[in-house]
Amino acid sequence: MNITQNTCEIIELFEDGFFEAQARRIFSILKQKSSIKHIEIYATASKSTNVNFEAGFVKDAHQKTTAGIGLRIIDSEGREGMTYTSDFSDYALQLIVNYAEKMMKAATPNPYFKDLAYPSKSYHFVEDIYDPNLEFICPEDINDILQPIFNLKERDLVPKALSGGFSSSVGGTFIWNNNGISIWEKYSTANVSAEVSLIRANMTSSGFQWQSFCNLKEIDTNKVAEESYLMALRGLKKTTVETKEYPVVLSPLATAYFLIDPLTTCINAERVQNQMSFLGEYLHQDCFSHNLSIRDDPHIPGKLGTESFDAEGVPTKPLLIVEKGVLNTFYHNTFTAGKENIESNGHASRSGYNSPVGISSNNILVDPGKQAKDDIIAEIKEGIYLEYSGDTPNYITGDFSGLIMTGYLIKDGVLGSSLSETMLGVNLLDAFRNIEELSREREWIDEALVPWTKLRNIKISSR
Amino acid sequence: MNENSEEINIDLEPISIDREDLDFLRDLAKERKIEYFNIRFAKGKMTSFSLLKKITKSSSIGIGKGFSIQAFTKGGYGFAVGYKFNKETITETFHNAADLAHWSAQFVKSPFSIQQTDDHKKEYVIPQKISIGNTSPDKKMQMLLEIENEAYYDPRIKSTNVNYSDLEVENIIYNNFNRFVRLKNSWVFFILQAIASDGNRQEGYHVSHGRIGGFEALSDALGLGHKAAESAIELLDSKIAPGGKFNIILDPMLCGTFIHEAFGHTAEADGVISGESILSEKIGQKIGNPNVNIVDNPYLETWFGYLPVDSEGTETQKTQIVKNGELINFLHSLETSSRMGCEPTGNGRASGFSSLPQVRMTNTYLEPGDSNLDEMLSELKNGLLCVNWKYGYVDPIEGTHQFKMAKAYKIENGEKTQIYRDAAISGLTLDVLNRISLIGNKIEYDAGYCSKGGQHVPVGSGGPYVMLKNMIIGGR
Repeated sequence: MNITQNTCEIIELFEDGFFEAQARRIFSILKQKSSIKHIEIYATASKSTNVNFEAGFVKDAHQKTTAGIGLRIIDSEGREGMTYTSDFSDYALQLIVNYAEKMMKAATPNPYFKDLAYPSKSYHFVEDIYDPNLEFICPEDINDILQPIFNLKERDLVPKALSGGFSSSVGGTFIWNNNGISIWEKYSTANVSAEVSLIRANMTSSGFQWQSFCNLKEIDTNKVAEESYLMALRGLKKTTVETKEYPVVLSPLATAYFLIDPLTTCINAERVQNQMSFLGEYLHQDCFSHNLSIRDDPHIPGKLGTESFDAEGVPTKPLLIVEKGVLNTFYHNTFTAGKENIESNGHASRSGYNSPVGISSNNILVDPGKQAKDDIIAEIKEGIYLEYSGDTPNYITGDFSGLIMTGYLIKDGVLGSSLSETMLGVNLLDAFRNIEELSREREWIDEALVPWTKLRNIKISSR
Repeated sequence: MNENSEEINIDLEPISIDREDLDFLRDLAKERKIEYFNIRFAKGKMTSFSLLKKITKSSSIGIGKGFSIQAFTKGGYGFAVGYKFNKETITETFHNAADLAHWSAQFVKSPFSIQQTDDHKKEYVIPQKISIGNTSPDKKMQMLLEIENEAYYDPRIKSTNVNYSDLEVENIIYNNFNRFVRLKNSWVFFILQAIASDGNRQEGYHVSHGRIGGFEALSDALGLGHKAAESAIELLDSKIAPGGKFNIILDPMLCGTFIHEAFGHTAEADGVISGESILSEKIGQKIGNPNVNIVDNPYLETWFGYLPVDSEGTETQKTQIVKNGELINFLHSLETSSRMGCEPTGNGRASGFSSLPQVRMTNTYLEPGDSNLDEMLSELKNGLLCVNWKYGYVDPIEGTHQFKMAKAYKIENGEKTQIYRDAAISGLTLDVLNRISLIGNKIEYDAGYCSKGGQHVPVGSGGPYVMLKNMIIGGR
């Protein structure tokens, strides 16, 4: 059965110059208005296909397309008005122009705004972030991809619940401004996730796993199935521990979410300039463990954080963020850079045509250590293995207190029982200073390539 | 409705579609062997402002419209989205959804039917005392700056961050049982963070306010700038909370988050059916002390979860979830009530037309008891008074939950002493309702957006002061 019309008219919107034509139409209306100095169009379009499952069987399938245009106009005093629409009719485009003017007039002057981005000759276009196979993926293909997860129903200990899904998306981003930028880039993503629940002897445990890549070929559903089941299985034996300080080993997932995500959030220059970052005072300072070096590389083929230009059209470039414990740089867009009279380093971000300009990271690479992760764990007489905490730190102070959602007691170098009602508290600056070891093995967690990380002396509270 | 032509009147004129215009879909459903479908149209306008240190970071207006069709047959669903309100696009989108539903149905092991809903046509309009649409962007900005300025009453306030949004949206919901609902909804949401510094340390505190209705809601936010600044300054003297076991009192805001996260999510029937709720087998059982009564009530007009009709066209209702400590009801959508053989409770909510309805809470709260705060502090004697929330989350399968409180006070001999920051509370849902000892006599509420499956919907949560014994606090 032919489930859907397998055309990819979304990409044609870019290839056929549809958005550029819309940008020129809007510009032709706006260029008459002397109060407007800067004009920027940011358009996105995507087509997504999702299949969700429940109890290990397909439950529903979705397909949808979304496309929209965001318009920013700025006057000579830095007042900015922004509008957006998913309707490309003449009437709607005229309406967003009118609204943009109204909003610009309502805004405060912004003395720190300098200029929008200019065209560059240094765009580094990277291959392999668009998988054409995902243009035509249909639910039958997805059902085959999900089979290893469905097969968990055949295990001796049958899951009580088995849910999750597969989603894919193909799309693109187009940026145009009156400084001469007119560029677009297409991308794709594929994502698979599973959540498993097991019961044994009245004890319930859950496990989860997911993978996200630009290319379908990189998705390993067997790994997602195995690791989510294993996490649930390990959780069936629970324990609490004595409240005191322990050495803690972070899994790659915990390293990514507990250490790296807060760091990349807090080197956002907008946070720093507005006193909202615990790292604001530490630029060029030796503030982390000397075995920590971190790079941001936006040009790695096939990775989710790869892009040739940022959300304002500024070329992206690799940055050495932390070098042997020294914090080297903050992330800037044109606005935060203008405030400091420096050049943007290409980290403007927008989550869609309807979102304001923010700042974000690309691909994060944490340099590996020398020891094998198994050896790091084997050396610990009594410690904690943190697989995952759903908590976020206080970005202003760096204080973290969170639940160990998934974690294990390490006893005599071996992972033991799963931890129940156990919490971890530390200031992140101390956590970064207390990095004792990084493993030589690393894993990709979304946009971050991260090792296992051993921290010394972390306060653990438990029932 | 214009057939085969694009509708262009999008600036909040009513959607020019009536029930008769959609009759053809019922014939199409029969032809395509679709047992149930709904079609949901939306057209709306959103205004947002973001300010940093009294300077506009972003000021925007967005307009949009679209529709989705959810088709169902033999237990399988298909879902497709369209943007043009004409017969050709609707028909094409229906076929896409029907194809996907038939495809999904081949895998279903336990087919079920969707129960019939009443054939009716109704219109609901959320009243606006001050029209959002007729209030100029200048006026909105002026009020936001006024509230933000309040924070700078003390030189230790170094920074502020304000985010405001208002939304006016018209929804039409139609299904194959000929139910046609038109809902004109609107709301305002405001959040402010103040950052204080004494030269050595910096601390932040955020406050928020949300109301279903018109621009009058922002008047209620006057004073919040000062309140956030006061707490941020107070936190400059805070210490890190000590980790360990404590007897604690939750304030009404934290109590609301606690009830929403620790309990409300586990009472959503979609998780119960999929085996992903710790409450799956507990209906009719005692799960808390006899003084525990928990309610989901969409009729509270001043709360952010006020909702007369859900996204499936079901009229909402007040649902008593726990009565005298006994679990008596789950929250239902049309699907979950059909599968569990009970009536829908009007909790099928979607964050927008392009998302599927899920079982969601509206306004959820713990009903008041008979203690006052002084009595509770005296009974607590030594412990923590935990105030306001930053965020919370739950693992409904294992029944673990976690909330981050905004601040806490050490209680010594019934008196507030040292202030603490960044403490977290964790527990097990089936254990913690039995730890409630005293319940305050006055209820307060808070507004927020609840996130589930990538969808954010406005909710209210609340309760009185409540005392819990022997809780785990994360700190250092």
